Amino acid sequence: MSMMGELTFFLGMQIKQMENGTFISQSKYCKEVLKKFGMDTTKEASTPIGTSCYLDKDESRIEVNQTMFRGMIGSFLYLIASRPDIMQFLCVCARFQANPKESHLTVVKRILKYLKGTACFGLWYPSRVSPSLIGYFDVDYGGCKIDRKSSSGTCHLLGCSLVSWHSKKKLV
Amino acid sequence: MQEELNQFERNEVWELIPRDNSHQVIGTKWVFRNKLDEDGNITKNKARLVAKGYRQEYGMDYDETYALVARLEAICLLLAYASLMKFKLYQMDVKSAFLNGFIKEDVYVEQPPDFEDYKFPNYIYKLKKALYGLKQAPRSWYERLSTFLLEKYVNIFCKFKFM
Repeated sequence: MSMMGELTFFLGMQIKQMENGTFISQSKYCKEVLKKFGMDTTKEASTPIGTSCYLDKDESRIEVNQTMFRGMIGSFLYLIASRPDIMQFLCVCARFQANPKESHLTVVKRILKYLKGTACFGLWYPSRVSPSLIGYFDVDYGGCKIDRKSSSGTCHLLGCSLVSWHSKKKLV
Repeated sequence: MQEELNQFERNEVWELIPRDNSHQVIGTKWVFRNKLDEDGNITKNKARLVAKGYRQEYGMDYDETYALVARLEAICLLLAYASLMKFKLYQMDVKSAFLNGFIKEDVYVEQPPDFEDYKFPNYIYKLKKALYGLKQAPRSWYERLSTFLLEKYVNIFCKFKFM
């Protein structure tokens, strides 16, 4: 058994413990994966997805390398550990993994560009707040334009710190 | 490699017994890895002796294999709660963690390649504790750790009140 000192790096998450709170980020992991997909020199985007962006199965367009597409999605899924902001868009893209087309890849690359500009973002857990547990839940009605299924999302806050979140398209 | 074998000695992982054809003997092999630090420089050359777990048979060499792992939400909760209560978190590391777990089944392994006992090169090892690569290794380590923690800290947890 050996002591490794104060908790700073754990499961790929960089943890900074300060006087007034704790900051968690995955900037190192994020940069590493951007480099892996050759996106470390591209322009940065300020939003993860366009406002008028609409994804469908896109059956007529050019196919892209499925392995690479899946690799991208999979690598960035782990980033959700500290980045709830990209979760919804990444999950939407993940639905097209079985048959990815060029238009889907463009959307994923937009997310990567956004990540490039915001790699140092993370979660901030402040101290000195009342430890109340608050949960939020929302659901849309038939929001998916392909099969008219609803999707739901939740998030839970302990004090002012976000501890759990999820977004899911309903099965029925 | 010698360091790894010293760990075996210290944890009393196995004992040498004569070869007996009645039981299945599982092979072992060395796995080498270079450990990198944050900037990608090599800090350590690591050797790990692993068992060829794919030779194990269900019901004979292992039974339960399910081991609990921490969910991300649990880790986030811990971090959030620690910062709320102004706790300082420290990190610890258990060297060759899996060598600490006890196993219930009788498992026999070959001697490590290139490190045979010079007196009895034909003998085999009977395992008392788990080895990396065995199917039940994560579970047995989890069991050992959780029993220890529960025994040691259950009284403290009982006294501890939520705010």
